[in-house]
Amino acid sequence: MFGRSRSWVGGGHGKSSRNIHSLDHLKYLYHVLTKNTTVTEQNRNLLVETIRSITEILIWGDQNDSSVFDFFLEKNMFVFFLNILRQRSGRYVCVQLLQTLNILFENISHETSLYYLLSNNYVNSIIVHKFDFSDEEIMAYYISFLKTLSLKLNNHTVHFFYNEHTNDFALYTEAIKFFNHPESMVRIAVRTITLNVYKVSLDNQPMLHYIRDKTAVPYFSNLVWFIGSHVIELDNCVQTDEEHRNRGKLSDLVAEHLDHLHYLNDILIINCEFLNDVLTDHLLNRLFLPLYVYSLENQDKGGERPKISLPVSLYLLSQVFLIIHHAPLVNSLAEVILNGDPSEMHAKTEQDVQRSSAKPSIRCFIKPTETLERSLEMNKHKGKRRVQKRPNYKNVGEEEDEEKGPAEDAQEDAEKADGTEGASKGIKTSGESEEIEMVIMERSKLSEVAASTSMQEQNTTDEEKSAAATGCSDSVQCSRPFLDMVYHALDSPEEDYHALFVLCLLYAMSHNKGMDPEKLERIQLPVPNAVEKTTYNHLLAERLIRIMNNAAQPDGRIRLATLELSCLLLKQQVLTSGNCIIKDVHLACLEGAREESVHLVRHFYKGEEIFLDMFEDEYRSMTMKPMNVEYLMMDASILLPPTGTPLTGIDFVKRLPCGDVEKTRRAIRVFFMLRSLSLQLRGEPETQLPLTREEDLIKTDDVLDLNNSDLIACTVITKDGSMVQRFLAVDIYQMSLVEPDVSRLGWGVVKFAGLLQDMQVTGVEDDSRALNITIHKPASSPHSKPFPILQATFVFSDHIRCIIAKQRLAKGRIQARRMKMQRIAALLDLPIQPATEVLGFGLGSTAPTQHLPFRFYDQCRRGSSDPTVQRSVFASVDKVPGFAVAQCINQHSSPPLSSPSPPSTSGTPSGSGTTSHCDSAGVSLSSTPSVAQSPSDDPRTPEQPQPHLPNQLVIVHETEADPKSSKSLERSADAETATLSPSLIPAPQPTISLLYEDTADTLSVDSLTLVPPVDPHSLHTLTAVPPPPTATPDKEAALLESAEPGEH
Amino acid sequence: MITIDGKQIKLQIWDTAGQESFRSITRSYYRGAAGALLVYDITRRDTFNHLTTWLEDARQHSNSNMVIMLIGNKSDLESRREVKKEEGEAFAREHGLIFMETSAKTASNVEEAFINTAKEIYEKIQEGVFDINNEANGIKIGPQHAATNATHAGSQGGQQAGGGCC
Repeated sequence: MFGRSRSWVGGGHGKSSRNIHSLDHLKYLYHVLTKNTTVTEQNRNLLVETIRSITEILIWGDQNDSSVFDFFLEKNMFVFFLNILRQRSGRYVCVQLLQTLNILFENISHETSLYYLLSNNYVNSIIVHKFDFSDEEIMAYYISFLKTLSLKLNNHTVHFFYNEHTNDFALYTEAIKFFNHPESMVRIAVRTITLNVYKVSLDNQPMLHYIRDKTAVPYFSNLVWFIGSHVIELDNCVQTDEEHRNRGKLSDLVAEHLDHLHYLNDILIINCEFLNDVLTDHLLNRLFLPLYVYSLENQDKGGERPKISLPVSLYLLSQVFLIIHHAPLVNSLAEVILNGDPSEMHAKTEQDVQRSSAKPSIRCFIKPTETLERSLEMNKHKGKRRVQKRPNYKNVGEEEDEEKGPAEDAQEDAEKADGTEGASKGIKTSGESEEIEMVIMERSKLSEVAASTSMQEQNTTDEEKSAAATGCSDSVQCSRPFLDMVYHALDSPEEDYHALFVLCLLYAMSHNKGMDPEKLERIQLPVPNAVEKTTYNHLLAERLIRIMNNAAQPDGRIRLATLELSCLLLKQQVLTSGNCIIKDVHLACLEGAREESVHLVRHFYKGEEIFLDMFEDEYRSMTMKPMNVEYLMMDASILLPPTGTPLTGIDFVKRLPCGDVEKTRRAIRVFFMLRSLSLQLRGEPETQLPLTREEDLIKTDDVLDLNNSDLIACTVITKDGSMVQRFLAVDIYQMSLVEPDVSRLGWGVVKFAGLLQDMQVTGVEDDSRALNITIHKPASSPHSKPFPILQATFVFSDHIRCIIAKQRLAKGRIQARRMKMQRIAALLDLPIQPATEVLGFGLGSTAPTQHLPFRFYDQCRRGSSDPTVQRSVFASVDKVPGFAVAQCINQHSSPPLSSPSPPSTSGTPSGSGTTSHCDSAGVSLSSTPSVAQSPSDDPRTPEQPQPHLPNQLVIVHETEADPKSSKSLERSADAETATLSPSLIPAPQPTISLLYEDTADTLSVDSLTLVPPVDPHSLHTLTAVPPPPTATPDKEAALLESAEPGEH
Repeated sequence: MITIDGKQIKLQIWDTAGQESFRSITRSYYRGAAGALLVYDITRRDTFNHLTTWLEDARQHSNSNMVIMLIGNKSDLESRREVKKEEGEAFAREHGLIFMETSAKTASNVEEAFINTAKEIYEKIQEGVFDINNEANGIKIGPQHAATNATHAGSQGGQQAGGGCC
């Protein structure tokens, strides 16, 4: 097939094709056809080649020469095609012919050419030709041909296919016979064809009537039965599963069900009212209610009725609500679930049926009385009786019997292949018990004329509406078994197998666009973004909070997906435009759960490198891929009881954790979710996560003031061999490569910036002046590998500088990671781990006499008032090494430094003392004895802190003036003091100190530490470092100036 | 029909073109395919910008092992190029796709695109990533043990250049 397509392309553009693509050549080919009217072994290839060439000329003529079509029509050349087909010339010719026709119709672009081809009904003759459909290839090309034709349907061309007078619509009726073909590609093609037909039928009343009156009931009832059989098979698959062995099959069945729902929805959104009524009626009364909804009820009741298990029914209903948004359908369905009493409903509908003795609105899932083929045949005959003759009537009549044979076989095969046999037998028996009703149905179907049908239909719809109405008015008093069942499923605290489905169902119902908000309001389940809300469903909220509580337990068996969905639903319930109406008692419970989750993560908090990566990775994947409920419900694996092992290949969030690493990941996620929920409900912004914010980072093309920064010149050789001169600078979180800014002396333009924490540095074996540096970007999706954003060899001027650079980078990496770990500790209210290296570093910063092992160049640019460096105000907030830092919200929303708003929060410490609250971690490090002893450094004296504004740590703690945490704050501070003191004098690091000799005096600038007071009683632990030496006095002054107006 | 590793492989190629308005149809196509060709037009940046949506769609509805090729088509129109080759490469690298530029008009790389897709699928079969006994993966063992792959070309953005191809 491929080879052939290519030859088309080649032929279309080759120069030698000039004489092949011409009317003359077509005439020649015509001659060949007339000479070979009978297909034989010998001329087979010639004929196929001829047909192919003719098609090629036609496509060429379509674009270049209309006389080709004239000739084609004049000589009735299509007849030859048909003749060849009718000679039962065998597979080879059939396939080639169908393929050629397919290509022809696909590539014709002019409407008139198309009309030529479609005229004289030849195409219809080909459509009704009885091919050997047991041949896979013929089947495939045949259905593709129909599909191609259906894509050409429009208001004009439709008349070539649908004959109003004979009520013939071969394209459609032949196609739908294959709706349950075992080959999925065939079924897809059938769906495409029907959808294309329905779309066109909107503007064609007679055709619409034909489709509805003659085909809709048989087709939809068979379709619904087909879907239901799959559902029962799916349920069997779940029931009989052991050890997740059925997962492959199950996921196919689920995907199949989704295909069907999407297909039904596609029909419904074409918005053809006539069809939608019939379809909705069938779906509701033959499938969704009897099979899905009634299965929600006590499983023992209901006798012989086919049933599916509770989880399957919840799962499938969620899918229905997620996918189908057709208002009449979803509202009726929701009505029954939320309010309906099934037995009452059932009785009522049965009465209705008897009274009106019409429409098949009996709510049961039964097999249609006849196959689709037979129904269509019967309708056809009826049509024929009225209209006397149709052109190819004889032809069809002859082969009718033949047709039934294989087609029915095909259907049976399909059933066998799907293994529904057992299931369908069971239903057949129940179907027989409904015999009477079926007879009624049958009769009504036969006697139906267009007008009466539409009337009856309206009747039933009205009846249904009134029935539904009484149902809901009754429901205030009567029990609501389905809703009870739904809530009950939420109640098992041990595991969340059912709970997840229930949450999905509630979510799906409340997010359904077709749903009448009032329906949901009755159970106080608000639609998202409802404007006015005063109350919420306490019952549900309590259950949701219970799930959260369980999730935060160390051995909680709540999956992450369930937790995330609970959070979503709770937010949806209690958050109204900016306000939160949650009751204090519920909020307290929630806070309890959050607290538990903090404890849970603390349990896993380790100094190990991997913890940080996990922490950040979890945050990234949580924020980058928020839950998509529709995707969640596409996954068949959640239909099986939750498992722990990753060997199943089930996504982490949809199963329980396995092993320590996954338990850690889970704990981190639970923490993130509950923290974010708690912050949102209390209307507070997140200020501490993510650990690295994009806006804090140096970006490419930033212009930095690098005066007095440590820069190392190097040559960067990238993998592709390009070579550039750059200066290497190391920031607190990042390394950057800069090149001098030509316009300003001492400034540099960032050409590359990458996170130190993701960096790998290795020496180059045979070159002591060179380093290999790789920085990976963490994978953004599970499909991509983490790919290196920098992979280069850095060559320095000598080996000393190389060593310096290496050390600086290595140190920076460790330091960057350590700082982040400390910020995590702060998030978890943990005391900082007193690791020696940290202390060496941290203390260096508070004790000016120490040599800092390391310094950050960007200290120098922080005073700049240049708007291009405005970021530095943010960056500098974190500049104090070893500190867990959070920023005040108005601080990082403040534009350039020249008009800073920080003073309003941090510059007036007494004011900020009430609103901002120091984190224990921040305090614990800053409370080094040396400074704590000097009360004159009390940061509340306004003059002193101001110069160091950018260095300040402003920490907003989520619970303001929480007595418990401030106590722990003091405690941890004291503890730190004790542990810190011995290591106050860390050993200087010889290799590196070399570098700093001449910059020693500026070091203390970097080490400024200022922590704003928290509240009076913790003040004594807070420190401010003595004013900086005069390394950058002008900038500090500028700062002072700009800070003062802000304050006064 | 192509031959890889001495094995006859038949490619079944489905085109979603023109049917995107029906979600059920595109969805089904993705699901039944072992490989996909995501095609954009190098002379129209908007087609490149939409790739993310298409990719997301394809990933979501397909077998997770589906081989996805990113194809920048109309490479013959260098003068009207709006999307650099490097951008295509970067996108492919970031999302774990295989990248090629083709021209349907001059047939440059067209065959290669399909053959490479098939090769990749074949390799995955050899590695045991695809369950060849499950037809939902889009792979069927032929009667003579020749694998049959259903591949589909998800083309977008003016792909008609060259007539009958795909």
